[in-house]
Amino acid sequence: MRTLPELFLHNTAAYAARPALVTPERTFTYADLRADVLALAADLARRGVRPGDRVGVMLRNGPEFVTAYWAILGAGAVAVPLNDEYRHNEILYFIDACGLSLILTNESHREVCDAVLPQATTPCALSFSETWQALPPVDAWQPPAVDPAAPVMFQFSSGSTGRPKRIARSHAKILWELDALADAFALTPDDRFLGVAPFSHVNGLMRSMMASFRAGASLYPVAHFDRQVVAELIEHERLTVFIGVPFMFIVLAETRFDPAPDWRSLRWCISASAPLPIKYNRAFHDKFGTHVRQLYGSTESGSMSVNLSDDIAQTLDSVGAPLPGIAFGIVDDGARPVPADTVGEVIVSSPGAIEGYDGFPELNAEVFRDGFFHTGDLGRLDARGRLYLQGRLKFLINKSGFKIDPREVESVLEDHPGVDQVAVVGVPTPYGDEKVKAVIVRRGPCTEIELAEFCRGKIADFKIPSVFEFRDAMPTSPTGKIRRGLLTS
Amino acid sequence: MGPSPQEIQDAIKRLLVDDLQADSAVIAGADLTTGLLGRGVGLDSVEALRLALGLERTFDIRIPDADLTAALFATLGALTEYVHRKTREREANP
Repeated sequence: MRTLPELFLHNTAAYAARPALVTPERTFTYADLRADVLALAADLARRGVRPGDRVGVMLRNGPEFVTAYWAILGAGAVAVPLNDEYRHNEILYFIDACGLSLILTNESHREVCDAVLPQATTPCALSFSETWQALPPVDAWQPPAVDPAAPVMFQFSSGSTGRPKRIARSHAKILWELDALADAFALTPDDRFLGVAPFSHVNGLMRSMMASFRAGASLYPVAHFDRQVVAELIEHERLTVFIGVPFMFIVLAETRFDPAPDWRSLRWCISASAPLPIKYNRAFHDKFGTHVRQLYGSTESGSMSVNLSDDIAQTLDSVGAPLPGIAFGIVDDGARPVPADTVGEVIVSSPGAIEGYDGFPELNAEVFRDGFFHTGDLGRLDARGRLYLQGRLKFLINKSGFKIDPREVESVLEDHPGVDQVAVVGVPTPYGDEKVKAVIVRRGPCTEIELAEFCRGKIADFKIPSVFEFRDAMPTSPTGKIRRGLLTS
Repeated sequence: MGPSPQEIQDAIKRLLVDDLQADSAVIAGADLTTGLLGRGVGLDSVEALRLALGLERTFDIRIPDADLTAALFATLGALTEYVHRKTREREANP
């Protein structure tokens, strides 16, 4: 297979009668999914979507997201997954940054989208999932003629330069990653995936939704993380693969189930997007009889490593050795390699990695060098080549696996008339992630409640600071830079 | 004899500060009408679930995730009343 539409065509034929998606209401076979996807792809073409056009999908996990994503690809267009918690500023930004001509969503987002669309420079329309059932069926279909090296998906990376940076991943790179995941986890059509990590995020999209499809397996999408729903689903449906984020595994480890559910069917519990503290991994094992394996990935590089070690109990803090075909390096400030077990910046070379951000030539020269992506993560490699992450070089806040660029939040708060200076930082929580804190130097009257309300509706709720601290002045270095490290306590 | 509403309210405040690192000055000034989401303490859905975990642990109660609605966290008083009801149910059906 050279392109994702070719993979779609192949797998929906090869596994036609097998369950592709299972919800409490209905089981969709691969043939059912193919019919729904082709009907929507044909509708997109009727609406004027052409190969190379950019189409957003803003939906929660469910059959509608899966159908929408594949239909965009089926139309030869570029898919842009959007977090359905995004609000005015974010939606407006992504419409214009991607040139979105259409967003596939549902009625619950009509109000916010209707408010944003007239302000966008790019003409953008909406298609609501509630109308898709009535679309006419399509009998014959040829996959669009697309270049395997052409972009098939835009995602965004928060980072060191203010606005999110656009990442264009090609058919070839995504197919490479899906093959690598299928091999690493020895996936088969008999696997049954819990689809609870958000499909709008790279973790849920690639390692759950797409990996399940690639294997011809069954996906059980869950729109909201709910402990009782997840526990019963895994037990009753004998699920085999649980892709999640640390928050989910921690909450499940801490919940007292009565009686404890039987999760012996699980072959893999995979955590990504943030570190999973060892004590919670041990508690999870004590309760459910299996350890959680940590996976290391990024939007830029895709999945890079996963700890599949036999001695997992002794290496719970490792994200494992690189997947076959991927190389790690650890470098110092001068980009020189450091000895084993020495902490430095993690760099990675991967066939699945992009070669640069769209429209950031100076930054690209800095972070994409000599075939390696400089991740901005700090780590060390042990003598067996296993990676242990140790923090970050870049000022990003990791809120339950969602990366937040402090500058994006600062730019919103700076517009408040009562704010003179603002610095947004991450404060570590006992759960291994961070909460968002804003330190404010006032120029006029303002309270924490006013400032939080000022942010609401402009950026997603998870980005809004939950702690505000007011100071007379910011701590600065001799060169005038804000010393953020002094603000996190 | 289960915990009183005042004891539950105090425990919620402690969890907000100790487990969720909420702003201690805001929590000290909170009363039964203080909102826990959005305008108020500012919990998001992840933090609300963490608070529920802490309440389950503290009071040996079970809180179905289906109950974790915006209405439950609308005010400190609403959550206190809910936990009080749960603790009384536990007392009645040990």
